[in-house]
Amino acid sequence: MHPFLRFALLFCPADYRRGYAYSIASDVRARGLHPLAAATDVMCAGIRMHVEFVARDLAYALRTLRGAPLYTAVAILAISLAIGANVAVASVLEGVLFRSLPYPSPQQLVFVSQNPLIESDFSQPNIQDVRAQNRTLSELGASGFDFPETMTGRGRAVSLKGLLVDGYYFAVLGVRPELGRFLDTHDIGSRSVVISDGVWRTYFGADPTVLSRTMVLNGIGYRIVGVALPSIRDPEPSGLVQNQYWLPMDPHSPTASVRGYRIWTGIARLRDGVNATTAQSDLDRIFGTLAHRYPDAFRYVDGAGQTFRTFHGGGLSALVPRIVGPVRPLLWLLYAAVAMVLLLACANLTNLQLMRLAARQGELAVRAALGASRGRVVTQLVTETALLAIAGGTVGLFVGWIALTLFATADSPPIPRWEEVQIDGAVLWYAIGLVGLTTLLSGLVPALIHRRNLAETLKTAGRSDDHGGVKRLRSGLVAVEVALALSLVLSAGLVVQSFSTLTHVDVGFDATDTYVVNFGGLSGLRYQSDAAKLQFERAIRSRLSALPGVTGVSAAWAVPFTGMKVMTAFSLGKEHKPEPDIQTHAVGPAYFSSLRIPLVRGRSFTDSDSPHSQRVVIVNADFARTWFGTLDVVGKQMTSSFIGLPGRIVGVVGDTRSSYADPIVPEYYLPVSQFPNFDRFVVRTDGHSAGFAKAVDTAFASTDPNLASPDVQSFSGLLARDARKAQESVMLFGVLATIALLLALAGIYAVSAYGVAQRTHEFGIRKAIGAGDGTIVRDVLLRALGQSAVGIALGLGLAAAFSRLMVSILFQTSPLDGRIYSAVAVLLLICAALAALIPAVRAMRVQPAVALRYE
Amino acid sequence: MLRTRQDPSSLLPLGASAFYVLLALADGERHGADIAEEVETTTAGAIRLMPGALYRYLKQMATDGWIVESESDDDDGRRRYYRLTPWGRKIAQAEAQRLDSVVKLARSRHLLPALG
Repeated sequence: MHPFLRFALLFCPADYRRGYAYSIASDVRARGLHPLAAATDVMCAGIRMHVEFVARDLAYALRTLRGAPLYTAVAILAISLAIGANVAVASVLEGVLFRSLPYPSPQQLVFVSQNPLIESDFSQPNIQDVRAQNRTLSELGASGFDFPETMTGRGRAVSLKGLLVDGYYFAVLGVRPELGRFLDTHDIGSRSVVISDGVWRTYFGADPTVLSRTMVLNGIGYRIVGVALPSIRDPEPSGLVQNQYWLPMDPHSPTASVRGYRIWTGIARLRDGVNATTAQSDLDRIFGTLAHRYPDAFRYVDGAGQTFRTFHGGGLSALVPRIVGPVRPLLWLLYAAVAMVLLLACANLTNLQLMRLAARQGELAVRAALGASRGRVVTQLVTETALLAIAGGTVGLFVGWIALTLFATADSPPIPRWEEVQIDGAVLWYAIGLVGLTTLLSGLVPALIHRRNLAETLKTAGRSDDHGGVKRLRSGLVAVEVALALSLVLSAGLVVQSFSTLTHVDVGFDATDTYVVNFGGLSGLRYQSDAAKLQFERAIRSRLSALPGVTGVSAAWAVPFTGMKVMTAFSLGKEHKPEPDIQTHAVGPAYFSSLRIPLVRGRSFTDSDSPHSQRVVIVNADFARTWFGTLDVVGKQMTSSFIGLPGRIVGVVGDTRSSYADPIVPEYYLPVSQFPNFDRFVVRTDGHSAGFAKAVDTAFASTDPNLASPDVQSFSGLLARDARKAQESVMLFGVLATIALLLALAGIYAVSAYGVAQRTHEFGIRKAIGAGDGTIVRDVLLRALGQSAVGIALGLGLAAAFSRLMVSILFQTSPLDGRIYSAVAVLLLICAALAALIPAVRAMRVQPAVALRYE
Repeated sequence: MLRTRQDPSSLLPLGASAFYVLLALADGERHGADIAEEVETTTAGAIRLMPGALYRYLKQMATDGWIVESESDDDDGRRRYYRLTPWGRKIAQAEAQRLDSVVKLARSRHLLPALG
């Protein structure tokens, strides 16, 4: 045969090729046709035949599906739920873990610190030395914390959150501004400011000539030199932060010129081709030299000048894993969970397809006998499944979008980069892949298994009977479904148990009817002296106390559940012992009574604890037990590094937690009067405090009109927000487990019902010869329970393996909690029995006469 | 096993090539190349069936029961022969009648000269 023809025939369906290759070749010879013309024609004919097949399969599949609307609806629902869940989780994975951070080459970015334990621990002189001496960093910049500043001159005073940066910071990030320019080394020491897109639009009306204008922060005018793009985020060890302005650092302040002021967060970009290990050893070398030359700058000292600890090397941590690392386990767990749901949906669909195949066996056998090749029967079934999967996938994309939208409306989801999550091109391709996978698993597999049975079916004259392989596969699928559902229900059970443990934890104080008033702290020229701060504190205290319904007011710093923790060093007694940093608070006299924190020993702070009287400290019970082994510590001495002078312990109070998940730790309290650092007021009311927020606003405005309006939150609201993170896991796993359970129930029900239908004849005979109803019901139930029991055994193993991954998201809950395992196993058994009950009753109602007429 | 047959007129009009293939088989059995040559001659070269398309038609017609295929041993070894089934003949007849009525209509509208 001419090679052209041979090639062209490859485009034709196999049976055509087999049947006509010879005839075509001999015709070409006999009619003297040009081989190229003939080959073109054969190729066209082949392609047309394929197109016709597909069109015919599609039309046939559509007809079949329309003829079985219930089956179609159930199948599409199952697939769309599974694909929807997968799409939602894949979007989160893609947006949070896979999409690169909003900087060029983000994998080159690293945090640099002179303390291997804390990232934000670097002094400017050290940064300058490292910048000059390193051989591995292309840029090294730094950002520093700025207290929220109050912007005036643009309507009502407003508190803005911003960042102090050095002249290299923006060069490290490598981002572009929207207008003007970013701060560079020339701006250091000048009064320049870069504002965010949000500030530009909200307070400057998106004025394109904003660059020549001035912005007033805490009474000081700054020239606007640039507007940042809305996409900019500042990398901090805690995550990506959205700031509203950027100010150049002041090169003359001690924070910029003293080697011991380690308050900067160093951020650097590795040179091309340099990895983190090389950079780390390069930095170790420099820090070693620096620590040798300036030991004081690496020494951690308390207020009394005592050394606590010394570091001789810095830390370097890659930005990307540092920021997204904490949520990685939860996201992968969710991914595993939704993958299980998809497998379950596929198993269910496979099962449905097998049953429908069995029901249509007669028809299919006849089609095969009439010349439809076996391959054509397979493609026909795959086409039908593909249609279902495509419909399910389309609905699933919508389901996923709804799920993401619902989740996003929960305020501040506990996931960094959440705002970047969306269903994008990559997720769309992923969804298409899932549709393909579903088609393969649920269409091709049953079709191929079934093909083997077709010949046998013809021998049994089209009676729709099961053959061993299919029957085993079907029971196996039920077991797999039960196993998958069990592990998902079990994960949900563990998460629920964890949530319940978490929210039943005693936080150590009473948050009902109390409010936290956050005014951002006092800064700026007006409040440079402690006296001014204390005067403000007294004024606010008396104004708030005078409000109707208010029963207690206290200034406070580092209030629990606000996310703010302050760690300081301290020492005990006369002989110095280096103790680790512990949590520290500054509070007013009414703090403990307002929050109903019990006073265990001694007294609370009073108004007679003044800047001029004896330094006093209150410790919590855990502190007393940890360092003194007793609660009777009133009268002992301790020195806080904040104060630097020995203080007398005057009281011991009950332990409180900083958040639900935080353990009880040693803590101590300083009186605001001796350490006037506070950013909030804690207010207890008698529960009748209508218009409270408004009244607080007025109280602050009349005390200092230049202060931004304070943020008033109910303390119970803060607790609820903290619980929400855990609650969201409960919700997510709960929804997935419910879907899984329903799918598994549908599977058990379908298989039992099908089994009963197949055995109608047998049941009829058994009833005719006197079998009781009980026997038959028991028979059906036991069969379903048997399959489920295998699944439960499998599932317990699977769950034990899976739950090990859950340790990181569980709170004081063992992933192998026996009670939960047995409860879930029993639950699944009950569900399986319920699912099989309807078919069992149907079996019981079989009329012998009807059953025997069946054949 | 017989499939239910629909009314042949529901299959009309036939494509020109398909009708000429049926016409070529109307007076007896032919093999593939023979059919193609017959069609080419009767249409004065207007319809030239290349083998790919020809066997696509023949296969489809055989599947649908319009024609039957048989192999016979002759000089070429195993050449396939085709003949009309009664059903195929019915279809060809229906198409011929349809065309006949079209021609009559054309005559009544004076698009063709009236008969003698």
